[in-house]
Amino acid sequence: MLANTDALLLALTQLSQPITILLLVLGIVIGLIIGILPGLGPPIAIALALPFTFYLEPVPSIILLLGIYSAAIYGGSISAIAVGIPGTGAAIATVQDGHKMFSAGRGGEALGFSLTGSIFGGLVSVICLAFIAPLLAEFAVRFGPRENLAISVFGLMVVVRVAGKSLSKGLLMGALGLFLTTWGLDELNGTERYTFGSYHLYEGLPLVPFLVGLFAMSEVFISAERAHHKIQFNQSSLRVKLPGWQTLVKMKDVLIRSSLIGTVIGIIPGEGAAVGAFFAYSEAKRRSKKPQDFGTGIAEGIVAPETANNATVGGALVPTLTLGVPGSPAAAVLLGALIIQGLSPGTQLFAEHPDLMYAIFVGLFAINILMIFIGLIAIRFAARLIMVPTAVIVPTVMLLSFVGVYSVSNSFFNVGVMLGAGILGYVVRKLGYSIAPLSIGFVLGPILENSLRQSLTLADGSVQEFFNTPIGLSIYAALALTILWAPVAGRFNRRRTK
Amino acid sequence: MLTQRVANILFALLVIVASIWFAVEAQGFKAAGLLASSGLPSKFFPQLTLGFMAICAIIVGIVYSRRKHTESDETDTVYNNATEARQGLLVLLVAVASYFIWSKFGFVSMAMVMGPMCLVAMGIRSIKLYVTVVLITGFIYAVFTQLLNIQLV
Amino acid sequence: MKKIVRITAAALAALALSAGAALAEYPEKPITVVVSFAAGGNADIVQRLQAEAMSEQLGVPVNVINKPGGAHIPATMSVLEAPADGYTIFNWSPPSFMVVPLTRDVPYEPLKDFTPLFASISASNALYVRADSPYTTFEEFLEGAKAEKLTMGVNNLGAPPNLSAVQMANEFGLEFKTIALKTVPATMAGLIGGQVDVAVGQVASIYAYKDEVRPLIILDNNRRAFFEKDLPGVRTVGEAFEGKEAGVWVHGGLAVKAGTPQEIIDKLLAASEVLGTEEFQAKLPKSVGYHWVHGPEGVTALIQEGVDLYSPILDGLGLLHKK
Repeated sequence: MLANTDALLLALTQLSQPITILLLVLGIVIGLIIGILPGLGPPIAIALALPFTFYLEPVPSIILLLGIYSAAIYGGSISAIAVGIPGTGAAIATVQDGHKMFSAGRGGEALGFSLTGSIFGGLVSVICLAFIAPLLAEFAVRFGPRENLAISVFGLMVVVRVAGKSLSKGLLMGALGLFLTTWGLDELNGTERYTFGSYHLYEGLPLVPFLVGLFAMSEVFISAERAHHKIQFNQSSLRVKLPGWQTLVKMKDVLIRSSLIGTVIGIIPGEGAAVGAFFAYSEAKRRSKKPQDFGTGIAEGIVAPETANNATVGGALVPTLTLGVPGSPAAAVLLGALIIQGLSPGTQLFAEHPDLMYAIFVGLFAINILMIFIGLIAIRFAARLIMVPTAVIVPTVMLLSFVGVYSVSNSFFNVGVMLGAGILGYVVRKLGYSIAPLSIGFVLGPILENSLRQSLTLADGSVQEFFNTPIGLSIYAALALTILWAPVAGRFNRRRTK
Repeated sequence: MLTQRVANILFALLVIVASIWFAVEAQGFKAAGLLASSGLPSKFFPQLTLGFMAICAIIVGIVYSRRKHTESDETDTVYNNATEARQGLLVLLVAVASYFIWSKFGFVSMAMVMGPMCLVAMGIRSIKLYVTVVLITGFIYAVFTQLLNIQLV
Repeated sequence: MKKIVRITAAALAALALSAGAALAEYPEKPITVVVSFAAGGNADIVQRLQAEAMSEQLGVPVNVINKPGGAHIPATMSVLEAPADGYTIFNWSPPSFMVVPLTRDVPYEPLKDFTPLFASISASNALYVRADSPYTTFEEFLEGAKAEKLTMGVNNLGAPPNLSAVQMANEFGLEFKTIALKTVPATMAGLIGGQVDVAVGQVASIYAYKDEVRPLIILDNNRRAFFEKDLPGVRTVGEAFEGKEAGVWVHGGLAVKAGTPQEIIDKLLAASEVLGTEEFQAKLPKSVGYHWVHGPEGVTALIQEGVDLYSPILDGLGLLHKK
């Protein structure tokens, strides 16, 4: 992007207004709180603040909302680690290692890793956004049904990697997740599928209540079993520790790779943050020398998804700002806020309002820096949650989940779905199944089915046309490589050691 | 006690039966209009995933039923002991009951009894914890209705 | 800690009070507006601006709740499940009040179960190709579309842009591979990215994609006031081809459940008066078309107009749901 000094100066002047700085801090605080609450993720947080922006200028209002967006994604991770409940879909992948580490009495450390990863991912994605946004937009615009199909087939590989000890059990859960997304009206032709005569089910099983039930409620029931157990921890677990420079250098590969994965996945419209975090997690696991340690509470298992989910913020803004197509549900509300300000997000926005663009880049950068300090205060409290007796956690989380999923759309049906998903999650967890593949199947299901069917429509019976997608083909090639690489490399290594 | 082996075989059977039932149900899907544009009918994807589920369930079932009578199968149970089973299942019942109380008597009544019911279900005797939970309930209610302006009825 | 206890005690007291509050004069508590679209789209943001303006008039918060999905039926029914007391208001739109009831079996009848208050947001559809497309005129496009089966992008199957596309295909004897890209902006982005050869977007879609797309024709019979502002010089089907039909009906507004007391309806009508003013309309984004009709009678007539327009079209396509 060409430097436009006048626009940059104008942006900096606007950003240094006291009201803008105040809103920036306020946005981060609000976002953190709402992100921590189960069910209430970034889209709700931004929508709640939207009316206030009617009275603000474009720059302060977008700064307020961006602060909320970034902090809400990060806030979800705090509850994922401290209570085992992902406050947002973006934090699902963090639960596995984050909560394990926390319960093992290393809470302060786990929260420190998550904060560091989040900030790193956020910063890298801002830099990508600032410097190569037009390039990324060029990439985003190429994503149609065939490309989406390729990326979701690739996503299914993630199911295999988070499957847990038994592959067949993991695959069963993944397929169940995919199957459950077919409930409701068929998006492509309006056919009723498994609606059981109730119009409530026309929209299918809503994503957020389903995920909150699956994770939070099942965790509540499992915690209740151990209500009288004392959790072992020492004073050092209460102290928040940010990883040192050497640790970061050791993890630089994971950090950089996860940031890029998050940024790129964030570009693709849909449930970007959750998918990005899972991709990064499974990629870190695949590349690790000790993949069997993932899921037992190790640093890489926290850093990878945390870096990626915050990197999706910058990624999701690419199509939002340059094409007017939101990269995530939260970005959709952000887009609405820009439109209310009289702007037309689309191919023209960068050219027409360079100062606004600079304000967004610089503002996002500042948000990520400030989040270190506000985040540190927040996790200091979160680390102390380990002292709260389980008997208090159980009813509190149960009530929060009930209220949280109800508030998503004032829908009592949501509460029922959450309860059902909670019981399902409890049963399968008791039987030694992992719920991670179930949740990833549930996130990928709609995009997988719709892109498969629309790709077939596009192909119109021609196999050649079906694969007429350079991006898609390179994704398939990468997929083939990741599957074949391990055995090939294994044989190669064996031969060398002989 | 219920062993993991028995429970998993039962669950696998349940999945197989459910898959068949849902797959048969899918045969009856009717497209609402003529907007159907795709080559694939609505039933394809559900039946594909169900078939896959059933195959996985068969494998899981076989794996568990072949692993017979080793030491760990007898000790590897779903619940460690009766107390844990009771606490987990009672709290689950409380959640279900709370759902119905909310639908019949409104949110406020549900919120007031949910916390204490959970504590009773877990066999908690400390009065201090009951007071704490009720205070937290009020605090959550205040945050959602006052700060977030959400109507809870 | 003391502070938390005090706040909590106050909240508990409020909790007890709210349960026993007597019915006072409307409105005495926050009003909820149900929008059947996801947050962030045109329908949603216009509703949020309107809610803010109405809230100033009514003196209570007006909260917007999004219930997307399920062919708009769950959102519609959630309003009918609530009491007819003016505290739950419905943001009606072409799918919930027109297309869905006309094409499938739904558990409600728009004009029987609701009392509409006003119509405000409006739109018209236009046919777009990429700016570098070989088709520079609609006539060239017709020739091209007859020679090979082009890929047509619409937002959702059954939504007004799709119906416009289907009607155009019927009138001119064309055939398309139709791809649904979820939202109008996504459709336009799909067009720019080459996912589809041609797309139906809204007349006002042009603002975000000025240099990237080329409008070919407006899919409407008659010229409307905002066409010249958005797409100057572009013909409508009615103007260009005598005898060819291109009907479109896109309106949206607010409605309350039928049976709501008249004094509440009157209050809401008075409070919504401001939404028709020039001053309010000046605040709207330029990508929004606005066609103001105030009062139940006017809106009922407008909706009936839509039913009369779409019924034969849908019947001709075999989509009309016969009761």
